[in-house]
Amino acid sequence: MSRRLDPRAAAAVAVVLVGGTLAAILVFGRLSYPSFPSLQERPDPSVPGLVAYLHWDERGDDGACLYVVPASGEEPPRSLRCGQELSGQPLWSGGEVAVDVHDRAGVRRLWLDPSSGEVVREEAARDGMGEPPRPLPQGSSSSAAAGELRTRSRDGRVELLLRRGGAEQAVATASGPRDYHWWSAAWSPDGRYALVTDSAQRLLVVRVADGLVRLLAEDAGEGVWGRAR
Amino acid sequence: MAARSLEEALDDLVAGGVLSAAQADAVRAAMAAEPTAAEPTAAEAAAPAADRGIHPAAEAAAWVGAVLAAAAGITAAAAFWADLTRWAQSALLGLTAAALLAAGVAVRDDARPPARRILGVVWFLAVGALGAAFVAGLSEQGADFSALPWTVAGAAATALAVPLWRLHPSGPQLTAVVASALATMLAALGHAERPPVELYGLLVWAAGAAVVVLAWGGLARPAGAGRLLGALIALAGAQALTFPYARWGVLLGVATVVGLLALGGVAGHVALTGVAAVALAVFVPQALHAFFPGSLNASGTLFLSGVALLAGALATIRRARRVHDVPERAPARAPEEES
Repeated sequence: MSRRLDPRAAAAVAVVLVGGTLAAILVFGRLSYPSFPSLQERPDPSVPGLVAYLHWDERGDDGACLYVVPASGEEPPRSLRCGQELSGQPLWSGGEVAVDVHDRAGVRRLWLDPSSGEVVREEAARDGMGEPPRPLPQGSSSSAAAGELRTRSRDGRVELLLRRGGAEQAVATASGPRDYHWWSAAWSPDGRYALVTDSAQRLLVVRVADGLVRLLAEDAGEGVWGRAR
Repeated sequence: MAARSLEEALDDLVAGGVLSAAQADAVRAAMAAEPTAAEPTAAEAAAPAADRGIHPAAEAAAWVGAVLAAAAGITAAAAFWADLTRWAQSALLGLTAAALLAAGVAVRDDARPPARRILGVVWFLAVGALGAAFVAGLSEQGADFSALPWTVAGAAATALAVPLWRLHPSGPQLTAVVASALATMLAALGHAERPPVELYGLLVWAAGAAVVVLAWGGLARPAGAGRLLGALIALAGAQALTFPYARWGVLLGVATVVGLLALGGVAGHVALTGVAAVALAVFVPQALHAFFPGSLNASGTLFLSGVALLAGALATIRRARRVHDVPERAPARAPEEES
């Protein structure tokens, strides 16, 4: 036996189904990324060193740009060099920042003065160049003694974990949408701060002592912490 | 005179006091089935039998030839497509839509079933071509996915699909309306700063469920096609939701299956019962995996899937047999129900 629903009731149910779901998605589905106090707005001179990162222009006009920003937030990020040929991840050594260049001539590594952006020296291609570099010894020996940092992300809950003496503890936590992640974590040169890159392409500075998280830069790739000369 | 379905006629007769509800049910039972996509329209029924006597093989050959010709055309166009400006691409697609619309108009008055099928398909393709014309015209070449062209294209396609469906309420036209409206809603959500992509499956599910309800109420015509289309969309939406939200998606899928089984039983929709039976075999293993991980090995999961499929198939057969058995008894019982 075929029974038919009242057309007006059917229309009402259909409107409620689609409209209600749409409204619920718009209200509850648009979880924003967690916000953190900005070091650019409130600089903290106690945070040492410089942070370098590459950021790829999504429209592809400029390729990637190499930025350097004081970790204290006392100056805005400065672009040192842009180009389609930039690749990999920046490196720090002796107060100079390096970036790999892929062009017709092959792979080279340019070392730049972080204050002026001038090329100080250039290295020819060698093994491993152009690939993501291995983690450099971050900071001083005190940081190594301070323990090993790692991030953990699950269902929008992110944590910065510190393993020390066989035990692991959460240094900082945050919550966001399910697709929110914290990627890398690296020690500051003085071993008191950690640099974290999140899935919103932001660089975050975490004070390890109390877990205070602050925003250093937006539209950023994975950051590398270095010492100022 | 516009074609009316049996359901509409019976409802009007009951509302007008000509028939009692029991008599209307008896007529439905005597007609042996609910209205389906295959139910002939009044125009089809009025067509002389000789006009409908086109051999299926001849029609199949015609369809294969049309598909081959279309594939050849698409292949040829692909060779120079990238060299065209986006406006030229848009114009070409717009002309294609217009040609398809005109082809449909040419066969619109032909009541023979093959002509009705051709009409349904070419108008369905016309809606798709119009949407593609808007996407091609509004998208920046080489740009990433942008929500605006898809939203405008979806709205334009919906604006064309709805009147075509009203003129020719067939399965392809209903599919065009639902698909274009759903595409418009999903594209509109893409305008958000951070589109809730992980919840798109929920909206797809709601749209599918709404189509089922509208078909149940006789608003999404043909009702049989509407029920099937809505059920498939709702199940696909639940499945899509399982990717970001495994447990919630599976729960929604199982609930949808239960709902379809219930609707199939209450309203006598055998096809819904069949779809739900297959979906049962899809969602039961996922439910076991999501809620009881590690408790079943592969063979156990396969066994349960098989049992679920078997149970669903038996339910479908039982439902089908009941529906077909009723007409023989109904005329004799109807007067008793009246007294």
